[in-house]
This record gives sequence, structure tokens and C-alpha cells, in this order.
Amino acid sequence: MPAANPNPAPHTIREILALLDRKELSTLQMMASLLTRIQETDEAVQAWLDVRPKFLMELAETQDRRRSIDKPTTPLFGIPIAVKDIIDLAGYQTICNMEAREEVEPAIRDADIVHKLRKTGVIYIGKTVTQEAAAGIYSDPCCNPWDTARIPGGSSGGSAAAVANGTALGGFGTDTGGSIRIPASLCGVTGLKPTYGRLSVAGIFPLSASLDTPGPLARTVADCMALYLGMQGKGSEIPAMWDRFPAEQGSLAGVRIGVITNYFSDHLAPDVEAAWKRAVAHAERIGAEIVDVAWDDANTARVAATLIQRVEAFQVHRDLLRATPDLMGEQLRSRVELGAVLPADVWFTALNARERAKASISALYAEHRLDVVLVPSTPITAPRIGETSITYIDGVTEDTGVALTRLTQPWNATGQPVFALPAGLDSDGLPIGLSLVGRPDDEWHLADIAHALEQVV
Amino acid sequence: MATEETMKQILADLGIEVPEERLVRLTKTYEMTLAQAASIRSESTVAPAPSPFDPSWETK
Repeated sequence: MPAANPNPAPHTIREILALLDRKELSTLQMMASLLTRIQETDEAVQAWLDVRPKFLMELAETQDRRRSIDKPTTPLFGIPIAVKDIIDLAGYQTICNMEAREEVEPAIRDADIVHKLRKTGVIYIGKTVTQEAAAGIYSDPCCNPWDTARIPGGSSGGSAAAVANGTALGGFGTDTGGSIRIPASLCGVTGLKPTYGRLSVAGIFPLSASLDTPGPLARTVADCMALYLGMQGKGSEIPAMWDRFPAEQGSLAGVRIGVITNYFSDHLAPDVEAAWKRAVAHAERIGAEIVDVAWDDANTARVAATLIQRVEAFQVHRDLLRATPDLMGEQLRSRVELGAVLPADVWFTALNARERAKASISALYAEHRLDVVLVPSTPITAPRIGETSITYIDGVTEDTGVALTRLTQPWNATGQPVFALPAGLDSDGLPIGLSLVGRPDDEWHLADIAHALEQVV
Repeated sequence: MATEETMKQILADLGIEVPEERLVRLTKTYEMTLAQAASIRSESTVAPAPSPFDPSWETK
């Protein structure tokens, strides 16, 4: 199938705000163009679930009227945003791609982070497709805008595809095992998984309470940080924030970047490995000190996160599994059944392992005085729809779901913040993604480094 | 077979019915998962309480 022509108008939030401010663009014009784009391309991409054109045009017209009277006082006035459909948006159903929730009543209030960001003046375009209950990496029926025969990744696939396809300037995602970073990588957009616990999960359908982490998807690091501020209820800090991310090339002098040479270098597509090496070289060229390190607990962290997720998912879906298991998709049902039978010993083992992994990664950062770690987000680019396994050039075959979460899940166990950055295209013209992993609660320093790096990769 | 029967009983106690063919698959996945868990088990048998990040994060 043909590509849907991603990035037709590669505008960032910051650029659109400037155009709106200079009155070179009206909110109505922007909305009309965006809705046309959705109408023309979303039959193929299928990122969107519930878009209400008449309501959105009226909203845009109202914003323009307000703008004609006075300068907007809200920092993201008129910016179109996508909401992943496990996150409550007042007046819209939260179906979570679950058959059992198809008749659920519309949410009567916004999720906490949606409510906070709304105060910045954004326009919510509608809900976007997710994997069933956010438990997986496919986001069916959404397709990858770079090639609609391929998956967008998941579970925040709809939000990432919408941003990549130019039908939203930013979006909400959630990340329990990689669900922001995987679709960011496969769709060629930027995503932030903040430190676990930094953003409220009130009004978000849970998957695994001790791992679930909401965060923004957008085109740039600066745009993500603007949304991140808004989601925290700190929208008033956005106008001053833009200057932190200048257009001129930044320096990484004094920054120490760890490159994990074990685990994260196993079974990579050659183009991904090459992009990783190029990014490391670029970082070094602009002043970073590169430190090769090994983290022996990476796989332990990954296994711990998987086990914890299975047990916690059962707590969420127990009643559904009892009452109407036939309404569950095969992947979700299998996961939840497994969570039901795992003994307490496995649960304690996983909790213990998670704490060990946290301790060993913090010791690694301390020992090498690391600011961040730079690793691939995914070992491969977007797989074809229906491609259930991946074979690497060394002949090793891996389940697609395992492959796509192998490099993301360790950072869910440790709870560290991660910026997922686009890092060029592979030989098939598909986006490659890299991850910069920061210290807990160090999002701003991480963002500074990510911004400098995004300008060179 | 013993594991399958145990699975069936645990699920029944939880009020969950699982058809036979699913039970076979579940038992296989369960055994693989136990092996995974064993691979990350430490000598300590006591799970630590969830704690804030190690203070060494602050040392840079």
C-alpha cells in the first residue's frame, strides 16, 4: 500500500504559535487544513476514532474572534492535540479499543493531565487509536503513515501516527513497557516518558499501576517539554521556556553520555546500529564525552517489568475475565490469564529484581558520572502488519512484540525519564529511533541534551 | 498434567473458566514464565519494599 505522505507540513508547535501570533495564519485556516488532511488520509492511516468537524470549526472560529479582540493569554492557544483513547476527554467515550467498553458512557470530566493542558488553550481534536487496553505494540487498525502496510507501534500508535501524519501537532501517550517510545521510534516523532510518578494518572485507564507513565508525543524536544509543562499544570512557564531551546546548534561540552555495550547492542538491524553509532559520533563532535559501559541487570530489569505487568494487569481485568472473557482479544486474554495463575513467589521475585535493577543502574550512573545513556529505542524499524516474528542477520528469530519491547522495558523497571528521538531513515525509508535515558526527576537536563542531539541526528 | 490440574483449580477458585485448549497453552506459558522468574531470582528471599531512588543519583 502507498505511504500516506507523512510530514506534509513539518510545522512544530512553536512555529505554528509564531504564525498565529503574527496573524499569518488563523486558527480557522489551520483547523480547516487539518480536517481536510484527516479526511484525505485517515481512511488509510486510521489514527483517529472520534473527530467532530463541526464542533472543531466552531471552536476555531471562537478562538479567532477572541484573538481579534485581544492577544491570547494562554500559551498554547489554538494548538491541535490528540488524546490516546485510554485517557478521559470530557464528552468522549474512553473505549480503550475494548469490545466490552464499546457502549461505555462518555467521560464526564477530563483526566487530570488533559484538564491541566486544556488550560493552556489547546484544542483537543479527538481520540486516537490504541492497542486493546494499551496492552501491546500493534495499535490495530491504525497503520504507519510512512508505509500503511506497516504497524505504527503501540500502544500509543494513534497519537504517534497523527503527529507523524500532520493531523495533530502533539498528542498524549502512555508508557508501561514502551508505549510512547516504540510508536515514536516507528513513526519518526519525538516522545517523552517522564520519570515514573511525575504526571498524574487520574482519569487514565490503568494497565499496570506501578509502571504506567503518561507523557507527550510531538515533533521536537521543545514541543514535548511545552506539553509536559502544561500536563503538570505549569502552563504559565511555557512562554519563557522556548528560549531554553534555541535554533542554533548547542554544545554538549561537559556532558557525559554512557553507551551500554551489552544487551542494547544484541540483535539490531544494521541500519539501526549504524544510526546509533552515527549519533554517538555526532554527540562526541559537539563536545560530549562518550563512556562505554555495561549494565548487567538490563535483562533482569526487563523480565521484572514483564512479570509485574502481568500480575498488575490481572488486577485490572479480573472481573472482565470472569464475566465476559469472549469479549477480550486473544493477546489481552492470554496475558490476564497468566497474571491470574502466577504465584506470590514470582511477584516477590519481580519486585526484588526491580529494586536490584534500580540500585545497579544508579550505581552505574554514579560510578561513571553519567548525565544520560544513549541506546536504540527499538532494534528494528516498523514491521509489516501481520509480521509476527523478526529474523536478524545473525539468523536469530524473535517474536515481534518481544523485539519491540526488548530495549524499552528495562527503563520502565527503573522508572527513569527517557526521550525518544528520531534518528534518520533506514534503507527502506522508514524512521529509526534512539533513546536518551536520564536520571530520575532530571527531565530538564535530559531535554537540554536531547535538544542538542536532535539538531545533529 | 499436574500443573494443568493446578492451573485449573486456581482459576476455578478465582471464578474463571478456561477451556481445555487454552489451559494447555496457558500451562506452557506459565512454565516458561516460571523459568524466566527463576533466572532473575536473587539469593534473598525477602522482597524489598518499594523505595525511592538510591541517593547516589544525587552525587553527580
